[in-house]
Amino acid sequence: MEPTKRDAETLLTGAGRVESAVRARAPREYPAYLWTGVTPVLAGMIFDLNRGGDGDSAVATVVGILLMVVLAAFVAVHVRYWRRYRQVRRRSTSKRLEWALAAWSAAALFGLGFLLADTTGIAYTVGGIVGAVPTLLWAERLRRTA
Amino acid sequence: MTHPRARLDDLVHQPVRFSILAGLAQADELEFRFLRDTLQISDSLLSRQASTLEQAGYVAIRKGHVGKWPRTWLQLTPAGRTAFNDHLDTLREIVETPTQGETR
Repeated sequence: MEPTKRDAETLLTGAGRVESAVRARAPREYPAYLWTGVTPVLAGMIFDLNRGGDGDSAVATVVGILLMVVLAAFVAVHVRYWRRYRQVRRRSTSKRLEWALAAWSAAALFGLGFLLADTTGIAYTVGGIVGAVPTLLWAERLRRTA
Repeated sequence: MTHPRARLDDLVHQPVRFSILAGLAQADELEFRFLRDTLQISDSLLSRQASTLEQAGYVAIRKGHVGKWPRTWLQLTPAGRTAFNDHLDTLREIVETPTQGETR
């Protein structure tokens, strides 16, 4: 084999290894957006559970624990994302879209929840689901294109 | 027809520099220490080769902080991406070109 061809193969093999290492360490957006979508749904259900409890201390305790678990999972997924993002910065979601998804999610959860509160017992759950749809659709798109 | 080796960019063909560009092509930015550990080279070697690539306009170096700790990130410029992709295509062409012994 002529030297140039051997050199080329060596360079391509080395580059392939580096590319694999970077891809393996790249932050995964899909779990972060999946949890960002799931969180308002769970939060809405917890708010409704709390409203239905009518100040019952046992219900309040359960609600408090559930809320802590959901928030802990949310934080854990995002901390993992940010730890990787500090080293390998690669993202498919623009800042503008990220803010739009977050604003829609919060507006739907609290806005719809507040508006429907007198008409149904699952007002915040409905708000959470409506708020989560765009984020979950985006998460699914990220999963497909990953 | 000239052999594809004539199109190789000497600046990119150096193994460490080619590996740096290969890593940067996979991300928007890479942190200096991560790249150093991935390439298994010293701080000074990475710093030297990154400066060479920066002077050629292939890499942009950005300094910042994470908390109070100073950090450096490297990014491939559009010119760097073009140079790397062209070089990659040329290398693949060389590997796929049959040698004289194989054509007989």
